[in-house]
Amino acid sequence: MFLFHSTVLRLTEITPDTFRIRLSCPENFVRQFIPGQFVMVSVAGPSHLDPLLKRPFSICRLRSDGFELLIKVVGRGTEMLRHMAIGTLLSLHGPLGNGYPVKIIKNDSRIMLVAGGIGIASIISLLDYCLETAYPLKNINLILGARTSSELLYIDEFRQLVEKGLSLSIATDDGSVGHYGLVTDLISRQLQDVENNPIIFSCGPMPMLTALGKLAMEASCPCYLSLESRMACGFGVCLGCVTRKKTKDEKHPWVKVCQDGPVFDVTTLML
Amino acid sequence: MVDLSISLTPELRLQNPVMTASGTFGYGREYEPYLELNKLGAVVTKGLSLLPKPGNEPPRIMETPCGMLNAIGLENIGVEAFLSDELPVLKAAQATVVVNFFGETIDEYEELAGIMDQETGIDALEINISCPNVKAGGLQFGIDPRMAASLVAAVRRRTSLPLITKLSPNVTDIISIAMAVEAAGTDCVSLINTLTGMAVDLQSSKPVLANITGGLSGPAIKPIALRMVHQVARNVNIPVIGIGGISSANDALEFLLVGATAIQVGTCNFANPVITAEIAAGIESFLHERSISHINDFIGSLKIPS
Ligand SMILES: Cc1cc2nc3c(=O)[nH]c(=O)nc-3n(C[C@H](O)[C@H](O)[C@H](O)COP(=O)(O)OP(=O)(O)OC[C@H]3O[C@@H](n4cnc5c(N)ncnc54)[C@H](O)[C@@H]3O)c2cc1C
Ligand SMILES: Cc1cc2nc3c(=O)[nH]c(=O)nc-3n(C[C@H](O)[C@H](O)[C@H](O)COP(=O)(O)O)c2cc1C
Ligand code: FES
Repeated sequence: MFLFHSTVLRLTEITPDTFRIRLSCPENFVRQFIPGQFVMVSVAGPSHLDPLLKRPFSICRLRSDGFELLIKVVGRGTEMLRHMAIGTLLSLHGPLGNGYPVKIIKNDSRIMLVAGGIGIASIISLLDYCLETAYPLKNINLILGARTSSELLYIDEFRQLVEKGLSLSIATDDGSVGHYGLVTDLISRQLQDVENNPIIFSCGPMPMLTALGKLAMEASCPCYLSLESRMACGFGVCLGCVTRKKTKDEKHPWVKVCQDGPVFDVTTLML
Repeated sequence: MVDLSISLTPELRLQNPVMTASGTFGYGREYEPYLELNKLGAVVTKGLSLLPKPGNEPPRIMETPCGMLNAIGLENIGVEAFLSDELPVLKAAQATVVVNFFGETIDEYEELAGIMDQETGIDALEINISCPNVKAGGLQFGIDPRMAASLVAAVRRRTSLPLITKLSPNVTDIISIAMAVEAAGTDCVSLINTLTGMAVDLQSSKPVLANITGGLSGPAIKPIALRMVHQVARNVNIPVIGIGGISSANDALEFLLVGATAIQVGTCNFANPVITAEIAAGIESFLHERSISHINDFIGSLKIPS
């Protein structure tokens, strides 16, 4: 974990409400990074107190000169980030959280990566990891869900990977591309077809994760969900980000999303 | 060299006046990667109860302009786990340790004080009579001078450790509470705890926090805290510890100027985990620039035009 100042190196608008921002980082940051980890980013300049708290964002992609975040504008902080000038100095904290359990991925395991909306930011870091470690593309099933076709990010890049063996399935709420409906419809169908159960990794809106988690448990598939929560600190001290774990111990009913997660084995959570 | 050391009681001397505020510093260990805990004035730990407490349902936090609302609900691991798992870490780090604690009844406060009195490695106790986020305990003792005094007197009988009483701002007359706990035997008072607040969501027409209300903290509350510290410091003869929205050395110095002997930094630890060290360094350079050789010569030096 590092506390560091970072320079805005690049900012690219992708859709009217999503953008990519490239930030510089200390050298050994990249070496410590596990896919699925996040950074806390101050959106106010140094010595500005409003907004007071840093914002959590998944580290989407590592680059030679830093790393990239993929951000959806939802409120004040993300709106401010969208307008950052190149060269602006930001305060950062990270990489934080546990990340995806990449060690459990064996070369012959089949994996299913499920991203809902902006959840792709976190899933891409895992896909990049698979590509880097030469994990066979034919064993990866990438499933994307979005409200409409224009919200499908990085889609051209994914289509190129399809040519190399990746299987890609898409579901949109309005049917503008792929399956008309929810990603979980696609998944329940796919889980019936597969002879050996895939390991599922997912990041997206909570209702999607809940439905997916239930499907995975019914099919006895290992399943890891990356959760979101409101965070004040991001490193385990404020107790603001908790979510309920599966336990009978009412004295200790919570896990901290920032520190115990954001990635959880579905069987440990109360969905 | 500026001497930054201050005394809260004859036995409780801090090397500098910068403490952490309870509930914003965990049990200290989470900050070890960033700070040398033994360089702080003191580490004040998350509020402890006799038995572990699960706290409130999420959502528990919400950001507000220059601040935040929290309704954690005093989630903590309980005194037994603290003493066996957390205190040794603080001892090993050679930190000055202040344990913040609370109960639902006077008996519980007394029992906790008795247990901690037996421990080595605890330098002082901070009685929380001011948490707004729990139904029983805490605040109910903090709003009535007589109840506050009888609680403090009961705790005082059970421990010879230095005793800090942490006051709530959610009262009409904080001076009377401070004077009452002084008379009951507290060695210091610390103030303020959070101000009760609320946030609602227009989209869903629901409260944002599951607990409906929460405690407001951060720079937004600083002027209120400063006023209360100023008022209390003029009316008691024991050290006052200033808390509320401190985000810089200048903020800390303002509290010292109006009469605080030490200060605690809360919410700003979340945004910047090394803020306490920066504040201590900033106080030192301010005093150095003014050629003030001892911090005591600065404390309470506010000039009020006649
Ligand atoms: C571990 C983690 C990783 C994340 N990764 C990404 C990412 O890669 N890209 C991305 O665009 N977003 C990501 N988010 C969500 C992002 O943190 C929030 O969108 C952001 O904090 C909102 O800030 P704001 O100031 O714009 O919103 P605010 O003005 O504070 O709030 C506006 C709206 O956003 C919602 N919101 C606020 N904080 C969060 C939060 N922590 N999580 C979800 N919703 C929130 C509020 O409920 C509100 O409806 C991640 C969140 C977590 C916890
Ligand atoms: C998340 C959170 C948890 C807190 N928990 C406690 C606690 O357990 N006991 C206590 O006495 N005060 C608690 N407080 C209050 C702080 O110690 C402090 O009095 C208050 O936040 C004001 O200071 P600040 O503006 O610097 O944060 C808590 C505050 C926050 C923000
Ligand atoms: S965000 Fe503070 S504990 Fe998780």
